[in-house]
Amino acid sequence: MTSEERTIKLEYITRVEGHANVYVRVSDKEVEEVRMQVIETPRFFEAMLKGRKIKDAHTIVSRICGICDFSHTLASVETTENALGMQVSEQTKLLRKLVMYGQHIYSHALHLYLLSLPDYLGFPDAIQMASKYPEEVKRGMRLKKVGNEISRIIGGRATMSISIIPGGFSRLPSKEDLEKINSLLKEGLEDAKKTLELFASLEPPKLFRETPFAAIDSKKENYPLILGDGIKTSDGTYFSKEEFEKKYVEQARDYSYAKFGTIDSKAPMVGALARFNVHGEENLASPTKSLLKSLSISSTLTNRYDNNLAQAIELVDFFYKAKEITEQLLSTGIKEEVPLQLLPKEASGVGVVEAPRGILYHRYSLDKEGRIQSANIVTPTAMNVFSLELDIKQLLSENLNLPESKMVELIEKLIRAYDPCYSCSAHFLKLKIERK
Amino acid sequence: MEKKRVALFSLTDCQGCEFVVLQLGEKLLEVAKEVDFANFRLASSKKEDGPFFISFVDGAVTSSEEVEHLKWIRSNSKYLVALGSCATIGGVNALKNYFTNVNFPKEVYSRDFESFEAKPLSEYVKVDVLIPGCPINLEEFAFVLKALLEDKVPKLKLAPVCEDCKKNGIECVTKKGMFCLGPYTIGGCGAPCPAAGVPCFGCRGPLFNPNVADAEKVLRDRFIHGGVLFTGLGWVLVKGESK
Ligand code: SF4
Ligand code: SF4
Ligand code: SF4
Repeated sequence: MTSEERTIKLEYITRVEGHANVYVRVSDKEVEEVRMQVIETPRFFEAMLKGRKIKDAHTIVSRICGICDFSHTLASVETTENALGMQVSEQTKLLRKLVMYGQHIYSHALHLYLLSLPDYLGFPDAIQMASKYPEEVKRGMRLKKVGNEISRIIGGRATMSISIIPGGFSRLPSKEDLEKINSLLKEGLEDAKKTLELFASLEPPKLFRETPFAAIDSKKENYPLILGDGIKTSDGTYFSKEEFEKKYVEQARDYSYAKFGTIDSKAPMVGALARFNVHGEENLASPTKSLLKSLSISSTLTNRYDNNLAQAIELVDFFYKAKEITEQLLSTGIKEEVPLQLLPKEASGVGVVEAPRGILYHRYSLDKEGRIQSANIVTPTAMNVFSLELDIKQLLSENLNLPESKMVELIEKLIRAYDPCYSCSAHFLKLKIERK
Repeated sequence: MEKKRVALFSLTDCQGCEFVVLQLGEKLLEVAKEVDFANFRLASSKKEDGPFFISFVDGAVTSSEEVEHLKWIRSNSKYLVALGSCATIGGVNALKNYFTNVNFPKEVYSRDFESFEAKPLSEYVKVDVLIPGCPINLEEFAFVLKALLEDKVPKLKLAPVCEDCKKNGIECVTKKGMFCLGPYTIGGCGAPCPAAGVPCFGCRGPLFNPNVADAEKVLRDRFIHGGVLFTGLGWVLVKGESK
């Protein structure tokens, strides 16, 4: 190695939503430093919520991120209901579950086909990949559409829902709406299964690092996406959502707008891989289980790059689960009901949901008129920053002898496997490797 | 024939408007046969220099870096389109403009750094076409793209959201006693909010160039009746221009 310093700059890590920098300093013997620098102009949502009426909170926070807007909306309405002691109906819960499956189907399809698959098949992006793999790209688009349509039909719009409000729904879907969803799910199921087959056949790079996986837990729900009561980790820790800010300890760092967080002094990983490992195969729908068996997919996935595989598993599983709910709603019929009223009082509330990328936490404190006094929002991308930083460090130590271009490739793939969504806080930008 | 080069850029926003463009789905592949997407970070890893035939820019301008970037985009683009309300009126980001006494960086990140008022693109550069909406609607995007590719500059139709309600047979929410900004707001969205039983909060921006007193009155009303959302009326107040 030469003694002069070399730097590689990668302008934009593309095909990741948002932007951030990765700064790496290596000598020929070791990795000296890795820094995840999340740099987008911060948007101050927590401060902007101050003084807003609680009834508007979900509309504002959904604009934090254009891809997991439904997760923010649902976290927000659950937080509001938690603060004001509102108990929504079973029908509301079912519809919310359904719409969340829609969001995850959409997001996973987008991530798997448009953002990750090009990496594996050696194309710079999906549009160029379409010249050689038109069927795959179209399949991804079709799956994405199923998710978008469920969101649109239940939420009133495919991006930025309208009808999901605290207390229930401002507009309920009709029987025809549900039938439409049912047939979309039926038609799309084959595509979803093929996705799992495809991702089970890929050979991703490998990276194993001991880390707690964390996901929301719910007394009433298996493999919950909403209605969380607390957080559970793969090494046996459990805490209630009320304890979140005590147990999830955040630190600001001077090089990043994102805060770095730990649970029991360890950097957790959240997202599809974490959910799968925390809740386990036994909480999947039975047809998903048989499919895993026939494809010989292991019941614990510890390779980091298997986050994509976990997303593909969830994609199929959520198709089955969404279908079950739709059929249930069709057989009982939609009851006409009006949303519960918001009765402002001095209170505070918390909510945890699973966004496609992992745990999403909201807390609001309200004054007696129902205006927000303070708010705290912890996004999954922020929760993963620390773990990702440590992973990159290990990945580089294991591959120090590789040429730089290969290193960069490995890191990029890892970052995309994590599926970070830096719109939450940032846009993904450049990787800088400094060599001594 | 050489493909026309179309770019999409994001400033400060949630990128929801770009996700709406992605909803073109399979049609996107058709479009990609005719145009070359030079900068569309969500769908393409190409990052090319100008010149661009059309640049769509979403997001509000909130830093001096973004001002420079925007100026560079302008000088490299034949047509510049402001995509979504963040770009046309500052959008949700402009909420922070209403509180002059809060130090936002300190409040959220416990330290200071540059952050100035969120402003629409037109404060810094000439914008050829506005596509309002939080988020935009896809038909409008497709319409503008097609027109510009034929070298025609479409004009935004100025009619209130109420017309969308009428056209689509949507029951007026004011009958249920709700306060609706639809009469003051640029229509063309199809009125999805009233259709879903909630009032319009004015995401597409004010229809007229209201004077400060009017805007303030509407906002104060709205404030008393329940918070201020990120309606473009807020922007009128910030600018303090009276027309
Ligand atoms: S206008 Fe709305 S949807 Fe579009 S980028 Fe801005 S906040 Fe997101
Ligand atoms: S619901 Fe609002 S936008 Fe529609 S007609 Fe009534 S006032 Fe106008
Ligand atoms: S009805 Fe109003 S708030 Fe809803 S999309 Fe149209 S302009 Fe925006």
